[in-house]
Amino acid sequence: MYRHIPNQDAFKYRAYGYGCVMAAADGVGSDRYSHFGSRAVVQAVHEAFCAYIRGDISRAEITRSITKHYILKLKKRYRSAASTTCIFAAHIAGQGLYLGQIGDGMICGSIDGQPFLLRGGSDSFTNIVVPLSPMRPSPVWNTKFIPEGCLASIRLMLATDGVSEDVLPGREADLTEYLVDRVNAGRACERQKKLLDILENWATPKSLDDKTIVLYRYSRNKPEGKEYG
Amino acid sequence: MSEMKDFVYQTARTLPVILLLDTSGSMFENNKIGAMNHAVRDMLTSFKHYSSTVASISVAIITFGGASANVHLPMTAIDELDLSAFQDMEANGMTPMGEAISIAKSIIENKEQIPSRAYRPTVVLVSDGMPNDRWEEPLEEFKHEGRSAKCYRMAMGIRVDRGSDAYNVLKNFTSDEEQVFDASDAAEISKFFRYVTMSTTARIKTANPNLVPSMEEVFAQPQVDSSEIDDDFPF
Repeated sequence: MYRHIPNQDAFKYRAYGYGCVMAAADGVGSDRYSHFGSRAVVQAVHEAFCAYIRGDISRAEITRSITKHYILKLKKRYRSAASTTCIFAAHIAGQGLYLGQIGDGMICGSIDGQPFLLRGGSDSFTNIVVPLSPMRPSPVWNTKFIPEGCLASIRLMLATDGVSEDVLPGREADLTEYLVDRVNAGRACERQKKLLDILENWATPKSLDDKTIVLYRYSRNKPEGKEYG
Repeated sequence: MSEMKDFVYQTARTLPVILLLDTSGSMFENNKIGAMNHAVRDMLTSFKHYSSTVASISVAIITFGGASANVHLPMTAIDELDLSAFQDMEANGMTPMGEAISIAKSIIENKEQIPSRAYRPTVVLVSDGMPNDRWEEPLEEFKHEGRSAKCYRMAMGIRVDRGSDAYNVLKNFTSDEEQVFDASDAAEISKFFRYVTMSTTARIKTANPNLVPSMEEVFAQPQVDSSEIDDDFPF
């Protein structure tokens, strides 16, 4: 039995005048229009943070705004079958790092040299999660805020579950370090190709789940400011 | 120098299948035990021959007969299973189903046997009669507590009348009457295990192996209809 299913992962990274925002999402495989859901939510993350910077919403309303924008972006006929997970990070100058997650996937790496991990998903079995869905009221986001004073250096990876489920426990920060170093060695124009090559030749056997990685590197002391992969 | 294999698992995710099989004395009648042995071997052979690119299958078999339930086959990756060494089950004694359910639960809750990255297990109960040990409490714990509560359950009654106490036990196990199958002879026993085989292999072909297809979907012809894909971006 075989069904043609589009890639259900989506991601969006963008640098703004106020900082940078990145999001990745994985549509729930059982939902017919989940590929629309993942694209809607990554766009919604960006719109929510722009609204926050404009002063239209408070910090406490960011995830509610993401949810609202995600639902509004879906045509009504898709809403019953567009569930998705989502992981995001927003580094706002002068404020700090906003992190959030719903469903599975992970945000990991190191902050000021200390390993960091924000991970969702079920402790029971893989792919059993509570995703974001227009049919499910009051979604519960897992969030964290790290103030700017604690952000001398950031090495971050956002990874959907096609990646996160295969990472050895305790090796998340090391993997982030490895990928950031490997991808950033060489010319900027080759970075995405290098990362794509790693994902397409994934080291775990029989691991064909959709995979998305977003890498972010920042050092306060770098004269050129932020770098990202 | 580090490589990707230093950071990620070098084994595939598994899709576990756990069989709880009645080997009580009544299974000797009409050679039900022979039909079940044959069907289970066919299923294991099919699993072995099937080449999956998405997940590996692992199987455990727990029998309940005699004076106690036993692990007939511990959780084993199908690639590592030596079919020539697989022993047929024998029928005798009582029906300690509750004990079998408790053993299955202990396997499922053990993350060394079924890690968190495994797909949702399928648990299959096959019986031809009423259990005669304490089964209600183990079954309630299995259905409502811990990781076992998230497993997919199906059951087959061999010559069990619908509406009988034995049938109601099976219905209680699955919580869904549609997942209780009837078998009255060897052919139907075989068909049921073919369904278990095909639904398992169908799961590992899809993008979401946690979705369990119905019997109708499993036995239908595969179809690919790209006209159903709606790529109209909805913004």
